Amino acid sequence: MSDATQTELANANPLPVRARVWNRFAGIFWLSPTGAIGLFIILFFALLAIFSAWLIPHDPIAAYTDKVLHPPSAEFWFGTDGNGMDVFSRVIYGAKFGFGIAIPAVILSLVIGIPVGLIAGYRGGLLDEVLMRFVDGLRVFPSIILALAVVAATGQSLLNVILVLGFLDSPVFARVVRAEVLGLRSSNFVESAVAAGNPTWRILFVHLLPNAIQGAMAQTAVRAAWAVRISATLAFLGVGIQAPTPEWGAMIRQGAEYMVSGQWWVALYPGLALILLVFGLNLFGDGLQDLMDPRRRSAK
Amino acid sequence: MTQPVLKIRNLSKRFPVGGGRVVHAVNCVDLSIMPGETLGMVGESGSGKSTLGRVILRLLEPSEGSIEFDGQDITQLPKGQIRRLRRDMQMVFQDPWSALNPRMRIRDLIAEPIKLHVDLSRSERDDRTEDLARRVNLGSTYLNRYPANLSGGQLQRACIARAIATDPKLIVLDEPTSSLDLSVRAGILELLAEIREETKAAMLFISHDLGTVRMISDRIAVLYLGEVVEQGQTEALFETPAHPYTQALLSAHLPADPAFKVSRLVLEGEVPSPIALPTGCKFHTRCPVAIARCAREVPQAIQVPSGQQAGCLRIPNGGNIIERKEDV
Repeated sequence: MSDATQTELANANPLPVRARVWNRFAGIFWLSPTGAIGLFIILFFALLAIFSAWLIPHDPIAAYTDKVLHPPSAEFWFGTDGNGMDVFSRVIYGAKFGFGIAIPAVILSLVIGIPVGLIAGYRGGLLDEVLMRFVDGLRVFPSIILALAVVAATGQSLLNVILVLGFLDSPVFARVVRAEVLGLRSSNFVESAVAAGNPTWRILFVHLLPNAIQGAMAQTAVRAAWAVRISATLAFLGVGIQAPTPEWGAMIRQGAEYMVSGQWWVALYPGLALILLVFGLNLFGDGLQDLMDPRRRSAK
Repeated sequence: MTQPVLKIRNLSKRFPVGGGRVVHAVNCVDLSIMPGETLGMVGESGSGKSTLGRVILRLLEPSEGSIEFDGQDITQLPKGQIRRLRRDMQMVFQDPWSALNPRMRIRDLIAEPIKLHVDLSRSERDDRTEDLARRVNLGSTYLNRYPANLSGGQLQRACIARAIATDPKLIVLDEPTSSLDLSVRAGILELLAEIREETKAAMLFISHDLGTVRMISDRIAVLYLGEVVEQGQTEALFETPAHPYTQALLSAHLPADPAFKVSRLVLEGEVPSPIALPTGCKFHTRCPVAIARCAREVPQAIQVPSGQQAGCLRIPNGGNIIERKEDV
C-alpha cells in the first residue's frame, strides 16, 4: 500500500474519542426527545438530592407539635404532616433516598449479574443450565413479595433493602449479558484471544465484557426505576424504612391515613415526586435502549 | 539431526452432529514440520484444513492421535499449561475484520501476547509494539485506532504483528490472504516471506489457493476429506504430482502464462459427505483411475521416485497417472 493512501485513511476519522462520546451523548436528544425529557427529570431530582441541605426551609424531621396537619401555606409550602413536620422539606430530602437506594442496588445487580451472565454464556453446558435455572427461580416469584419476605426476615435497615433489591434484580442483567455472550463466544476474535494465550478471566472481562455490556447498560435506568418503585412500596408497607424517615414511600403510608379525613397534602406531594422520578427514569431508560440497540433505532 | 517443531501422528478429529452421526473432519493425519520450515496445506473447502490447524494448536481437542510440539507431547496437556505454550505457537486467522476485538486499540491488540507471556515493563512493551508495527509496515498512526478504522490489509498486518510478537516457534496461518483483495494479497505474502526469513519461525500455511501456497511453502501437504493424500517438496509435488487427486487439483489451477496450453482434469461428482466416508481409498468415488481394489483397501503412503509421499494403490504399477485430454 502506498504511503499516500495510508495517510489518507489515517485522516478519515479525525474525531477524538472524547468528541465521539459527547456526540453520542448529544445524540440522545435527537434520537429520543422523550429520553431527553427523562434525563432532565432525573437531573432535576439529582440536584434536589445533592443540594437538599441548602434547599430545605425546615429540618425534615423537626416536629412542630403546635402546627400538626397544617394545609399548604407560605411557611409550609406543602403543608405539615401528622407529626408537624414540613412536607416540602421532607419531599426534597426524600430524593436522597430514591437515589441512595436505586444507585447502589443497580450497581450491586450489575456486579452480581454481569459475571454470572459472562460465565454462563461462555462456558455453556451444565454450568449454564444450573446458573440459569437458579436465575429463573429468582424470577418466578413476584419480586415485591420476595423482597418483602426477605427484608422482613433479614431485618429492617436501609442496607438490607439495598442488598435485597440488588440481589433480586441481578437476573435481569445476567440474562441480557448471557444472551450477548452466546452470540459472541464462537466469534473469531474470541478464538483469536484464546489462541494468543489469554486466561479465561481475561477472555471474560477484557474481551467479552466490553462487547456484551451494551444491553445491560441500556437496562440500568429502567431497573433503577424499578428499585425506586419497589423500595417505596416496601416502605409504604412498613418494611425496611420506618417513619419518620423522610422517605417517599413511608410518607405516603403516613399520609394515606389522612386522605379520608381531608388532609390530602401529606400523601399527595411525596406521591407526585415518586411518580415523576420513576417516570423520568423510565423515559430515559427507553431512550437509552433506543440509542444502544440499533434495531430499535432503525424501527423508528 | 534437529527434531521437528511439530510432529503429529495418526491425528483425527470427529464432531458428533446428533442422531448418532459423526462428521469425520480430520482422519489419521501424520505430519511434521521442521524448525524454520513452511508447510503448505491445500485442499478444497470442507477438506478439514482449518480444523486440522486448530487441533494442532489445541484450540479444538483431538479425538485421536498425538501432537508433539517442540519435543513435548501436548495431546493431553492441561489447559493451563497449553496457555503458557501459546507463547511459542500463534495463529493468524482468515478474516482479519472479525479476528480482532473491536473494542481494543490496535496498540493493545498487538501488545497483548507480550503482556500475557513476556515480563516487560510498560515502556519496553510499548517500544516492542512500535517495533512490531514498523516490522509489518503498519504506520504508527494506526496504533491508537480501533479495528473498525483500518482496512483489511492493515488489519491483517496487525494480526501478523500480534502473531510474531512473542517470537513463536510455530505460526499457523489459516488462509491469511484469501479474504483480502488481490492487490493487498501480494504485500501480505511478501511480508510473511520476509518474516519467515528473519524469525526462522516454522509456518503451517493453510490455503486453497495453489499459487499462494507454491510461492511460500518449502513443502506441501494435500488434504482430501481430512486425509493427507500426498505430501512432499513443493517443486516435486508441482512438477510430478503422484496422487490422482493432486493431479486434478493442480490442473484446475491456471498458470500465469496465458500461452500455456491448459489441459484440465475435471473431477466428476461432489466431495462425499464427511459423515459417511467412502470405504477404502476415500478418493475412489471420484478418481478417474480407480480400480475395484480401491474401494476395499486403504492405501498406505509410499514414496514415489520424485521424492514425495502419496497414498494411492496404483502407484506401484504406474496406473496413478491420469491421461490428459487436450482441451480445444
